[in-house]
Amino acid sequence: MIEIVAPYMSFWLEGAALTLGLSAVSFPVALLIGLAVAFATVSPSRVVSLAAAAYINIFRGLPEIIVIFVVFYGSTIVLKALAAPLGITVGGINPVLAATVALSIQFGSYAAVIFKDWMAVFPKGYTEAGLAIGMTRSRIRRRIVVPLLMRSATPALGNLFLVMLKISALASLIGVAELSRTTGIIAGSTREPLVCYLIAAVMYLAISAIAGFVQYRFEAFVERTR
Amino acid sequence: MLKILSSTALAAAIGIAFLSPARAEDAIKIGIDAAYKPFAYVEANGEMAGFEVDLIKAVCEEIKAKCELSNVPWDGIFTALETGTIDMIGTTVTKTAVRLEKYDASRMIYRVGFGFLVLNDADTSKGIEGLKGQPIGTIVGTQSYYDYIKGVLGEDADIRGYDTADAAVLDLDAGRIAAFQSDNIQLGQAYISTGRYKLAAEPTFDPKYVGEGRAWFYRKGSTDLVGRIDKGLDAVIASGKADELGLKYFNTKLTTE
Repeated sequence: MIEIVAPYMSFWLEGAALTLGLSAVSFPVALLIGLAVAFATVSPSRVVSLAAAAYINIFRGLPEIIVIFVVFYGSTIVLKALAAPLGITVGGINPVLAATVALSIQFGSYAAVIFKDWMAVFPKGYTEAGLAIGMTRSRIRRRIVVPLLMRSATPALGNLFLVMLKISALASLIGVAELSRTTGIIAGSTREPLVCYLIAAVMYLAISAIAGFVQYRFEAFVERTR
Repeated sequence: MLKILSSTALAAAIGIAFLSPARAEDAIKIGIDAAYKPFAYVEANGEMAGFEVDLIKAVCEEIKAKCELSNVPWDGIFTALETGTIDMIGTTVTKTAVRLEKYDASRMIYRVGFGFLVLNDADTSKGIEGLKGQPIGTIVGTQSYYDYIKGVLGEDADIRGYDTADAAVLDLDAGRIAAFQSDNIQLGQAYISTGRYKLAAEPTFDPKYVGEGRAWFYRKGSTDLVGRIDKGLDAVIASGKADELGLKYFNTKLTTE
């Protein structure tokens, strides 16, 4: 059985690399969006804080698959509509890019909630101390709030990363040949579905193990710098 | 933070502009779900292969058109067609009245029969009647299969939809479904050939269920494209090239009448 699927290994590893790559690129973007939105929720401007609350509630409530479909097919429709009067034909956006955008937007809302909750439990004294020594609001955020946030939120964010790894399998539905899609293709091409899905499971576990190890090292590093 | 966000947005916009160059009008974008051996599958090197892939290449060569093949999953293939991500579905799809209302189709490429796959040791003395009241697996979203199962087993038939034939056959092995309904070519080639399965009865070719055979599908209003591809198909079928491909992939000549 293994001999039949073995020749597909390099094709397969490309899929695994894409799964890891999708999350590795989307996750930092999601964190940036999350931080920005978390700060926006406590903004003195009502419009900004309402917009942030709307963003969080919309994307936390929507199923990932719908966001991926809307970003991919929706952007193609919009691009075509915009390009038609100009007399040019566009091929639509790249599915990998669409998946990255969709995952970043969606997980940005989850990250925002994690940051927002941690911000709410910070003792006021930290910011007051910053103000007392003459730091500006933005410097307090950069030097005090963000480092503390990253430190306390790491365990929750590590969890979020693992969820993203698995949710990224939905990108296969718009034609991204990541690990799930390559596994489906190989299963259909070799007629050895059981072996194929077992190997895919091992690959997913290996990727999670790598992610878990990186998180562990990061937490240990943060602990030392305390 | 705003700076970072706006520069990310800018980078994304540039990315979109780069990744979607205006393509030459004459390249035909064809989507095909290459996860169904021997119709369409992927070789170990990642290249697409199979009956449908070879047939498309033969037709494109015949009409001297530039064709771009991409591997699109079945679940999203009609959405991809409607939104213009692809111009033609290269997976051969059954022509049904419902589909023809919404889409344009090529000429009939081949006709298939419908059958019920059961385990080799199953009791088939009563034929299809023996499956009444039992759970039947089929491919999810394939309306003609659902109509056929309901037609022969009754409106209240217990139908379980699967994404792929493999998933359904795994459940057949596990005893969760009594039979897997699909087309005779796929069942014969992929499963009966292993010696572990058989058909519950002779496959049905009744046009009421199998429709007008299988064809390639296009968006409504693709008359020009349909005409061009049909001309190529006629030539490829008349020259015997299609039969050659049928023998190569299915060990049988295809019913093109």
